[in-house]
Amino acid sequence: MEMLAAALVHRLVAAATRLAGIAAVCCVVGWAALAHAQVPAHLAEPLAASAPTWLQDQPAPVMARCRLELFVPGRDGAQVREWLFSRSANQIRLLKSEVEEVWRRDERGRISFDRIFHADRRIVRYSSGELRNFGITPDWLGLSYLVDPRGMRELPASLGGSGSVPLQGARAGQPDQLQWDSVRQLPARVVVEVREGALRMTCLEAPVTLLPAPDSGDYLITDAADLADMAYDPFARKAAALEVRHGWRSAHQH
Amino acid sequence: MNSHHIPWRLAVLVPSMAVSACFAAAPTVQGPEAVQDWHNAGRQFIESGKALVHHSGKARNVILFVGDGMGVSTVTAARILEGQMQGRSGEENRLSFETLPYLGLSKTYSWDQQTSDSAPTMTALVTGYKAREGQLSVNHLTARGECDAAVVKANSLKTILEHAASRGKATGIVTTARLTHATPAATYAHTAARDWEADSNLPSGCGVKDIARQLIEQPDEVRKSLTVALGGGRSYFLPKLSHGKDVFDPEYPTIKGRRNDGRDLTSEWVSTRGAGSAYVWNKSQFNAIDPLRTTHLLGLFEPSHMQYEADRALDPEGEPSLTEMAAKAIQMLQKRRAGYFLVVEAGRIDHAHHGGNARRALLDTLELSNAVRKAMEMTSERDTLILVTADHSHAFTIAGYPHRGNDILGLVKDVPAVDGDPIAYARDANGLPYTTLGYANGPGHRTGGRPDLLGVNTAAMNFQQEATVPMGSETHGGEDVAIYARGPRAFHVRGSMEQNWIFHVMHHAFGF
Repeated sequence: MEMLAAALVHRLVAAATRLAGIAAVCCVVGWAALAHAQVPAHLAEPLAASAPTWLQDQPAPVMARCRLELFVPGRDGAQVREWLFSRSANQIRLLKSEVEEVWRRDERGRISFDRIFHADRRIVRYSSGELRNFGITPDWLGLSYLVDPRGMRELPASLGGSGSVPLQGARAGQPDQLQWDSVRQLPARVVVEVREGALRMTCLEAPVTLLPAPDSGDYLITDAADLADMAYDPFARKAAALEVRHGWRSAHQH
Repeated sequence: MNSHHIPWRLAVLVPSMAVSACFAAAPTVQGPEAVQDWHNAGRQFIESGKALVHHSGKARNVILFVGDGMGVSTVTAARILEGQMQGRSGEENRLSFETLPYLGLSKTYSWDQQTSDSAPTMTALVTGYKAREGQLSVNHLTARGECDAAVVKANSLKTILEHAASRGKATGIVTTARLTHATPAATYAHTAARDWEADSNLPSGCGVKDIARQLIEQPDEVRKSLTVALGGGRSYFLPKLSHGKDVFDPEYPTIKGRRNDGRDLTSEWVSTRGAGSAYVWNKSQFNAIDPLRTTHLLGLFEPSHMQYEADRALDPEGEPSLTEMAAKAIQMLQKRRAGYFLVVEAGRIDHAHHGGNARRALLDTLELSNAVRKAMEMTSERDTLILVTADHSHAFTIAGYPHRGNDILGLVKDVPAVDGDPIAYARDANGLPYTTLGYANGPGHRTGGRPDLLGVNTAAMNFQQEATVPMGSETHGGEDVAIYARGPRAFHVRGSMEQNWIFHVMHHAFGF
């Protein structure tokens, strides 16, 4: 199942990159701003001035359960994954089965990233400096929304309002859909066409039970800078391979 | 850096300057040299060779500089970058250590690796023995993951730092990586696994000491000798819990110590080294250290590796540069009349390359060059042997036929086939331009084919050069690395050398 999720992620990144009108969706699967990490405008542009009223630049804490379904033509039913999402002011967590991704922002605005492998009781830590070295400039809002707000900002303001905001892809004829939950500041429903069929993600606010904060456990922490020197370690190989599959180290805008 | 900003005397003649058919057009690209300059420079080289004094006496001091992952292509690209940053074409520039009189090539294979990691290569450099992948200063008879302390002790190899200590010399370690990372750790630790940096990294029931603990709990003669240790890796010296409470990093309040044993090794450094010893963790504390009054200095400036030189200014608490750390270390070590051994590692060249980020790797290489220059200024070649080398190379390439003065971080632009024609981008088989710098493998691989880089700022700090083979991290390279040397008995650095012979050069230079 993990491989399925990874494959979905990879395909969605590719699909979303193709679909310029709703590039935001890319971030759903590439885990938010990472997929767009090399677009500096993303960071440089504060949301406030041009943001639609249904987007908040300081979204409130929320916990949600997201269901991912891949519909493949000619096959009955859907392949299903579940993600658990948790957002607070300075920490964003996304649990994808046994692998959890945690973004932290400190009081100085420095953003770091932990990828936690619960089954292995290990953490790969990306300091803010290491993220820069990998060409990644995280967008906290993009992470907070689960989707990249850039694409949404470009959509017609007339769609704004309260409650659930249905947004169609900016370019006619594209099947992508985004239903924005403006109360919870989360995508309620996202549909993306991928090569294999269609991927749908639906998120509902729900009390989410995440494992204890990893720093309080006895997890072994590995600096991401050290993965390259640990080729003899099966875990390091797995962690590095996961990055490649998720595309965020190899996803370039050019 | 942008090619538009290279103000050197490159005469790029525009087509409007094309002359009539009666006259050949001037070359579009012209170097700054006159014809005679080449000959004069060659003669000057010979004259300086004639004047070279072979210092055959013993060295009082030895300083070993290691650029982690600093292969020859890295040195070449860094020298060009430095020259271009100074407004010249770049190729004619020389880094500080390229002016040293002796040069050799070091073969970096290890006992069991064709292309090695830093553990066996640094072991070779500081013990004189090639060793196994991932092991530090133990011989190749040591089993992978050996946890029997008696076996590790029996297989331990005495390092040049330990030799120096036993002869009454002062010793020091400076790095921009963690002090417990493979390269610096090989000088003082003996272990079957380079990753055992804190006790939390040790397998359950393992009887050997972790690397951080080995730094603090040295035998008497090394403890007295080890005067200065500066680098990163703070979290490996701090406990997770103290008196039942979480111990957080002083600079990063969400990061905890990594030690399970509850020990604060930073305070133990001070308590076991006596009055006059000090521990610092930020730039202002470092600056306040009086090298004449401080007997033993431990500096840990980040929880893990220190910042890349390119990012150092962004660190709110501040970090000293490699040059500043090396200078402070030399000041402290120079107090010992018997002399000293100092190792200085530019540890982050390697990490930047692993991330496919050439610019950061080159800027860290330039900082190493600055540190060497400072050391050359602070010491005399009559009594101090300076060696500059790398532990291994990287899969880093300088390719294409860029014209003289072409931005080393930019797209390749050839010398025009016809004099007077404008400079144009070189193109691949599909008509796309490409950068001069690249990697054989690594995260810079672009899925879906080569990108069109026209309009992309390939000199941007976060730009990742393209890589041929997709990998999460770029890998080391297996070709030889250079050794540069000056000072007493430096002439033993010559020709093609096995990496472990470098230990013997230092050992012999000391007269041990």
